[in-house]
Amino acid sequence: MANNSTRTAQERIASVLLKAFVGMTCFFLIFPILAIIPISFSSGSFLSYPMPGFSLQWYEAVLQPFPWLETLWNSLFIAICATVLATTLGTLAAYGLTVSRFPGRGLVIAIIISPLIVPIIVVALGVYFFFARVGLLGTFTGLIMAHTALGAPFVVITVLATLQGFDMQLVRASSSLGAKPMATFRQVTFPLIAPGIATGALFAFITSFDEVVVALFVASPAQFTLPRQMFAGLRDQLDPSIVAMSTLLILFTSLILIVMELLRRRTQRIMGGR
Amino acid sequence: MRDLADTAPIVQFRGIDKTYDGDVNILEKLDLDIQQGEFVTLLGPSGSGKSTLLMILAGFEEVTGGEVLLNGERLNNVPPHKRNMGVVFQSYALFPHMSVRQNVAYPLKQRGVPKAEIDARAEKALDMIHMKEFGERMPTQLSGGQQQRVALARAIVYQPEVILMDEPLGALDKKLREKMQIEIKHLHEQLGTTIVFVTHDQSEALTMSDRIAVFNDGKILQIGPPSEIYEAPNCSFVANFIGETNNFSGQVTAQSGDACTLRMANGAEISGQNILGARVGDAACMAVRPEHVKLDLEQVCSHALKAKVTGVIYHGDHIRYELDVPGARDVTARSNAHMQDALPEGQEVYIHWDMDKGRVLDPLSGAEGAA
Ligand SMILES: Nc1ncnc2c1ncn2[C@@H]1O[C@H](COP(=O)(O)OP(=O)(O)OP(=O)(O)O)[C@@H](O)[C@H]1O
Ligand SMILES: [Mg+2]
Repeated sequence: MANNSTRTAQERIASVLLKAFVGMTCFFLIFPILAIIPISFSSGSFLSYPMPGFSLQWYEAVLQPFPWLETLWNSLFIAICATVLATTLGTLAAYGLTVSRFPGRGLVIAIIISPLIVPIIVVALGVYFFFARVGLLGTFTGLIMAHTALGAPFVVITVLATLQGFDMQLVRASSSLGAKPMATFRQVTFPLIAPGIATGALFAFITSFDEVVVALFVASPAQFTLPRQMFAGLRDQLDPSIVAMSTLLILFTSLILIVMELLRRRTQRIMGGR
Repeated sequence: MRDLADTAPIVQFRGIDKTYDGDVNILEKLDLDIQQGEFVTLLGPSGSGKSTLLMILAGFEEVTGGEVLLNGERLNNVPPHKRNMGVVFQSYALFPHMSVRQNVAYPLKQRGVPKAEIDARAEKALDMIHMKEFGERMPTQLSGGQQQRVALARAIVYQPEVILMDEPLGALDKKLREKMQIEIKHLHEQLGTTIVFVTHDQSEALTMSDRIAVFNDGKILQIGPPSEIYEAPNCSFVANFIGETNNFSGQVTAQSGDACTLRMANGAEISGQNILGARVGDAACMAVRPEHVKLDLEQVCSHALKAKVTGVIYHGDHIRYELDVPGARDVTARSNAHMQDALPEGQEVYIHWDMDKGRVLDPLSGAEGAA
């Protein structure tokens, strides 16, 4: 009896400690981001508190066509193209790696995910020298290709993980019922691993949308992406417009995450909590 | 009973060899003919290669040697989706993102059947398995038995030439399993389709099959109608795997025509049918079903064995006696006597059986002896 009650007391302390720890972690992660947001509404032109007054001038500034909106469109265009490519190639690679076990399979996986492990500056340098030789420097194609390579590992990893939980018996069932391999993929495999693909695609998108190092090496001013522009802004004229843009991006990213979560819950409901 | 004798086989396995790793032979020189409309059961212990043979027929596994024929044509390089066979998996393998109706319509959709016909045929198939009201449900909202029935409907709706079932009832409880056995048997009679059924449940095999193929170690030991498999096993493995059997091991001391005499370890002699042509001096084992073992208080014939009742177990419709017989292990007898007439424990008796009920087969190997 006594033993039992001390146990629960211990458990209670542990639970309080755990909650405090989690709360503090969240605070340290999120507070710096939130702390900067008010400055985007500053009427002054420095990144500092206290703010002289309230103003929407920096939002007005970042919603001007040049340079902000133009680079935003560049970023979106590049990120969307890179995402489509990375998702398609990554999904096919993951599927192939799951259904066939061949010698050297581990090596292939290692090569595919190497952009995640190799320091980005090394990747960027490599890409720079290679693209210089083949004439892809300062082109959208070049930047899209580089970002595809950076995003594909996320797709491969998430789709591989999703396929682990996918019942391969369903593929056999489908083909025994007369479906050709592509029809099976379209009607059975794809719908069931779609959540994994979507997660991978989201990571690929964010990777490209956030990417600055490769853009620094490869992009000429015509392909400047948003992060590249912000980077330039940090160096040249540091004013709250960067914070205003960051705030918009935070909103945008949060929105994507919320939509993803809603989609995930929906599929989970359809699948009856499998 | 169908007349199967003079129709051409629909499926033929010829000298099938199969190895997964190039080292261990899972199937060895296996031959099997399956007749049109037949219900054939592959029965055998776990790992004996039953599923492997079924998956070869379905096209999911390639043979290492030999050939598979469907209606006399080689199937070896035909992919699964062109084989027109229905497969029912042990795990059901229903598509979780499709409703029951969509699952059943799926094979028809792949064949480009017109929409109206798909609806009508899916409806009919659902009706056959008594699942009409469940068409809009998702598979996860069904019980195991219901899921199994949907899997069945999905496999018959396109009228495949052969239906393959790999332990389709393994996951169901006993009562439901018996009900589904009857339903599958009924479907088979209605449709007349050839069915190849895999199980390791011998009573399932005995009740459902036209013929049973008993597997062990990648070989078919015996194939025949259930009554033949049960009453006339051709080796000790089959005798022990199907139903209960008493084993009396010994050495052949005399042989005349169909009969022979066996001397057991303790010197007692018994006689029975010489099934495998054993010769004097060979080691052998006589198999006797418990229901053929007769108990008497006096020695009524010369070859009766002395025994002692060590257990009396009441089973409702019959009584099971456990007997201690010098020279043999784990001997049991079945009696239809009423409980009030049962022999008491500790009773000394004589056991014997009709000559033709004792089958002299190959000597037991270690594993079977222990079983
Ligand atoms: N994909 C595979 N790769 C390697 N070995 C396999 C594979 N599938 C089966 N085996 C081996 O082949 C043998 C026969 O397997 P199989 O599944 O045909 O047995 P089974 O008779 O169906 O048994 P069970 O009653 O347990 O289903 C087993 O020893 C198994 O380990
Ligand atoms: Mg099996």
